[in-house]
Amino acid sequence: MDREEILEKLIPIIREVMDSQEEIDEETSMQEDLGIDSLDFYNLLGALESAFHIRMPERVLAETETVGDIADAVMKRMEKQG
Amino acid sequence: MTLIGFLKQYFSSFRGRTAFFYTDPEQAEPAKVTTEELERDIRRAAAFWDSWGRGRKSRSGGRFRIGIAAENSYAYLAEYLGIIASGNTVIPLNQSFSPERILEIAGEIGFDALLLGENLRELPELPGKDFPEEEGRSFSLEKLFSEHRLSSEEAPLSDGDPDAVVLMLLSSGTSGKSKVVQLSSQNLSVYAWELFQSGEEKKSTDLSHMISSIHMLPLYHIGGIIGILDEMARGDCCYLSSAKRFLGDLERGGFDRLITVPAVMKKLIERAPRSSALSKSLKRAEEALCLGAGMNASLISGMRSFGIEPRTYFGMTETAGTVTYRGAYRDGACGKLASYCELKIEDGEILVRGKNVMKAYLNNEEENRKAFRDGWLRTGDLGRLDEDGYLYVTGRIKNIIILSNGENVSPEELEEKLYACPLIDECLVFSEGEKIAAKIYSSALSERPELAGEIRAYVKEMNRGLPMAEQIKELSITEEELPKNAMGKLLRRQSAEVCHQADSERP
Repeated sequence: MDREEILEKLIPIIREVMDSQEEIDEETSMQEDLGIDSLDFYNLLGALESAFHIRMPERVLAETETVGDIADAVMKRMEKQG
Repeated sequence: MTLIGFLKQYFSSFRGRTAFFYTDPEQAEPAKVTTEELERDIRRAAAFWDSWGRGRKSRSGGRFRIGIAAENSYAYLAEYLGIIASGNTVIPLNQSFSPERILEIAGEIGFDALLLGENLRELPELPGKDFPEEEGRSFSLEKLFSEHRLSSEEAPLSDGDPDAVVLMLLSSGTSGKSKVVQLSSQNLSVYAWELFQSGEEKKSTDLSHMISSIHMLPLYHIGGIIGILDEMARGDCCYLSSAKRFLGDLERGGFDRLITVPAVMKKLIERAPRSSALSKSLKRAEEALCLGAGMNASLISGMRSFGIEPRTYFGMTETAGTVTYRGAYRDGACGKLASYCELKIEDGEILVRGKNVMKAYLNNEEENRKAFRDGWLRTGDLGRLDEDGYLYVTGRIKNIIILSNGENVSPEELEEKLYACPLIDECLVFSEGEKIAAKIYSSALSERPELAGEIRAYVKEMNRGLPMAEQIKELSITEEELPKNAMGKLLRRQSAEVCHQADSERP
């Protein structure tokens, strides 16, 4: 899966987890634009793991800021886990 | 009384019942574990740790100390109890700690082995040079558990020594050297025994009273294991969840009892109007046990609007959780005293002694001296008892603000007043030099920033009813949540520091 494909799959997941109708692209900030809170955070972590069949440490997701950052983190995990 | 003794009683009393459900990411339907399967899993894990220890020497000279850093899972619980059943000590760690911190604690305590959740093994710094996998010093928790499931070796369950340290937990003290609470087999089992015995009359083979609960408290916290033992002692069927899976698991529905923390409960109530599955699940629930921090009035009324009866206990890591829990729920109180311990209030402070109270912190003479007064554990909490024996916790001693005129102000009491304002989601009161300051988080501001004016007006009005010295003179209102620990407890010091940097104004 390349970055574009990841983003394509990722954005609807984020829209669902965040229950957001807003325009979301890779520049969208999880905190500033979507107002992610702690419950959303864990919910997103679980959703990413099941959608992309990866395991992600909390700390890795906590260090991301934008949707693009999350896509990069997902890509890294996928590469590692083959 | 020992923990393994309790487990043996549990297995024989509840043979054939479903003990746990949990989400298996590989399967659409939740996985189910009966009490027989749980017993087998514990005995297999114990057999593994028995043979692992043969021919090895522990780093501390005593029992083997085995650390676990992972998210909640059934595998975690089975290994946790298996390590205890093998006569060793389990030390669960917060999985969100940095790898450096995990290894530092492992070194300080002298871990003999380290079990890591698969996702943590993605971090290149773990397991470090001290825990080489090839020497059997570190394991993948999930892999080890799958291997145990295929094994035919089962260790017999023996009660063991009630005074043996079976569990070590890091106490929430955040600064300086970490305080490691040592809990004995007896400490950890007295609550489960008491609960089990009090429900004796209900323990027929009739399963109709069996209720279904969902539990998400982390296993590295005392509330995590106590919440699980609580469910076992009642013979309930418990869905083992985690922070990451909680919302999805809860939306499956069908739970009578929720075991969580106040901060999560609050978010669920806020989210319910947007999710029909969640809303349905909350309406079905009858009770929510909120541990780890206090519940405020607005949370309680939010829970009641879904027909959920709140419940909470008083206790701390040092008391293996539950000190008060009995009796019907009473607003603002934490229940009545358990029979295995005593409680008294001296100079406003709650002191406890009894079978659930730890003997000492690990290698920390100074803290051990401070922790006890004439054999009574100083909880550091201020409280009072009502005429029926219900305990009310009114604040923490170390948070007390002493004004220059010598007057003492409990920030928690002012916070309780602030929470009566529906716009205030989180707040902390602390001293700012000679003045009393408050930091307030309001989620409503992101949509309507002008509401900050209403909050200021509320505080101004509140000040009118207070003595001059207790009035809130500095106010900072933010759209961002205040810093919390993993159990959702607000971090007072960090919040105050943030506030020092931010612009605060008079209300």
